[in-house]
Amino acid sequence: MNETALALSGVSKSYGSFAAVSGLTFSVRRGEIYGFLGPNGAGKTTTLRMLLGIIAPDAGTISVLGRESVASVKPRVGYLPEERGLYRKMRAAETIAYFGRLKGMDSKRAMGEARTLLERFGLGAFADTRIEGLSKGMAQKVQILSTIVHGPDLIILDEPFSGLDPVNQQTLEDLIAGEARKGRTILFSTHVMQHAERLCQRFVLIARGRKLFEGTVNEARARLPRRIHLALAEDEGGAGRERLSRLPGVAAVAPGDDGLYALDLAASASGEAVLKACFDSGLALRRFDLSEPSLHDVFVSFVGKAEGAHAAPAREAA
Amino acid sequence: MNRAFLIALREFLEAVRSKSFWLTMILVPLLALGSGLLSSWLRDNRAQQLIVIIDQSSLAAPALVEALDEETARRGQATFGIVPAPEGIDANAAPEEIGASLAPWLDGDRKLADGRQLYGAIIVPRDFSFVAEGAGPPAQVQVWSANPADSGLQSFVAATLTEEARRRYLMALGLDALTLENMNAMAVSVAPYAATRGGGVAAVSLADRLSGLLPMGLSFLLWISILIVGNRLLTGVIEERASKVMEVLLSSATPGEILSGKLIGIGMVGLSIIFVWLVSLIGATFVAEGELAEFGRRIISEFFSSGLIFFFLFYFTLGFAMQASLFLGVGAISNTLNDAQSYLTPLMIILVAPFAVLVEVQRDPSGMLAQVMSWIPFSTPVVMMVRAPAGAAWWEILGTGVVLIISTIFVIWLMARLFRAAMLRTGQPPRLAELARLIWRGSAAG
Repeated sequence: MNETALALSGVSKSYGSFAAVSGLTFSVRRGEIYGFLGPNGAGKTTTLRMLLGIIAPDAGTISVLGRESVASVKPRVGYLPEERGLYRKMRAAETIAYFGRLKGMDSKRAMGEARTLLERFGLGAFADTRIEGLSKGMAQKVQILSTIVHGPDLIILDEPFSGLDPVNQQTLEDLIAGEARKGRTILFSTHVMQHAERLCQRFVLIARGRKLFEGTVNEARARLPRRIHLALAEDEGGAGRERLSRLPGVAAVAPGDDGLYALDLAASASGEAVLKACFDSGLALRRFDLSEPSLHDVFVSFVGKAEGAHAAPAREAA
Repeated sequence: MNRAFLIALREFLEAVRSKSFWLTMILVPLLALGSGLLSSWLRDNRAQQLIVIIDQSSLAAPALVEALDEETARRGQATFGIVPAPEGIDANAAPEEIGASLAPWLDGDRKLADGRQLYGAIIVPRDFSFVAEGAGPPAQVQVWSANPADSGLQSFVAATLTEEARRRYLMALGLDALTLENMNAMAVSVAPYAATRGGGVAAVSLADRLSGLLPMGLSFLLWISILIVGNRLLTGVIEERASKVMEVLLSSATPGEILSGKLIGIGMVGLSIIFVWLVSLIGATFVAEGELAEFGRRIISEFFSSGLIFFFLFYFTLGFAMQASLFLGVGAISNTLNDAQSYLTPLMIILVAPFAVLVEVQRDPSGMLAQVMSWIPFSTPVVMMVRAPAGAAWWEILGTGVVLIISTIFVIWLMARLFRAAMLRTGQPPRLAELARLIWRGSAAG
């Protein structure tokens, strides 16, 4: 499990004066589901294209499945691009088999596997239907099956959930989990954090072409303060804020709607200690929720800071 | 299996499954055959053109009538049929007046008594004579017709009356009718000969004439196939770019494999169209009979026996690869067919230019123009297809062939770089300077 499936070291790519990716370093272990997260325009697609050898990096090294040259392992990689497209005149099974054959499968096995996959994902009756005759969701399924038909060791999915309805999103999540159970490595990019939270063992977060964080979801959460949402039974003129901020273990207090306060805990503090301190101070509570930060919070916090840092010098320059 | 071959196979199968492929395959030979048959049928079945002869001199009419009678005896029907002048026409008036009074019939405003249309009128003035008399020029015979652009009637009158004038002149010199007839029957036999490649001489047969015309036909065939499949290639690449299939292809194959796969696939489409046409021609000559079938058989035997097939395959393959890769390049930098139009204009000029001079090349295969055009790679396949079988020097065939091979490889290499750099590019189509930069860099952008 500790063997590296994919490693980038100091990878950069610029278009003219625009740096799409700057000194990016991260690695994906074999058999793990790895999230590649970032806001729009963060450099995700450019990075994925470099991983696939479609474009060459200006600097840095990339190793895929233990090889420096991506070309030699292309047949062991499956790729689903962000914007989907298939040959409209080709039939569903034929399409899947064609992409399988491009990855080195023989004709008979490719067609057999294509029909099996279509059957398994509820499209058996449409195996001989032309792509132009399928619904958008069906065509997306066909494209996803084209990505995995050859049983790749590394599956790279660029925004795989975009455009799918909730039922198909769940089907795709199941498919990704199923492929991982077979020992395949999955790297997928997304900016929808719920999918990443449910699926990823580890992830890298990038913005403006630079890495902001790499690690597990729990490690990321640990970077943000835990938060308590509470409401006081009596809070005359918002005087409670002052009393709350003096409680031991509370790092910051922010007032919200309906008399709700958000309390950021100090790193060493516990929710129980704050609750006890509230009682000791005679504060009557109407509500008390202790929640772990979500990946969404992590994303907003990290990306927000990075965007703020980028905007500040620009404001100064202006 | 080789990925380029797989891509080629897919291109080929998609083309073969399309309606346009079969329409082209069937319609083009049908149109060619149909137009040939139609024009020969029209020639044989053209309605007789009706004319009026008003001969105030009484000298010319008998010769004209006799000439038309002879044509009737020979072909069953003469080109022109004589009808009496419509009522009310004064045959003694001045020729111009007669012509003017016939105008309503010639313009079609009025019909002849039997409802038919008058085509023309021959008016011979009173002072006409076959032999020049006096100081001035002889009086002119006037030919009036509904269609001044058609010089058929004028030529008939001029030829017939000139022959009659000569006959009368010779008889006036004392020649008898029999001598005149013998004289007219005299003909010197002339046969065309041509120097052969071996240095000898040989009689020029129909096959020899075909060997001059057939390569020209094959050049046009090359042109037609490039036009047909070039357009398919262009729209295919634009669609793959727009639908992002290209990105999936690139994750499986190299740009070189994609480019060569497409060229091979579309080349196979072009060749199979020509193959089916050829097989149909061979089939038709077995089934059909007559002059047309004989002509078809001659074409086929000439194509296979004179080595023309090797020249054809050589020039077709290289010319096709070079032009088709240019279409691919245009496809790679265009987001829509509209974008492609601006690049297509120079491409079409390159494609059409050799054909502008092809007739001159065929007329004078060793002339300066033909020699110069042979060394320009874009026109080499078209021009040398005509010149090589017509006996161009071996060093010219070899030299232009080598230049063509090198240039074709260079153009494909250039287009492969452009293809690689521009395929995933988004935004406006590149301007000329950026185009050069893309080719220079040869790797993907944006």
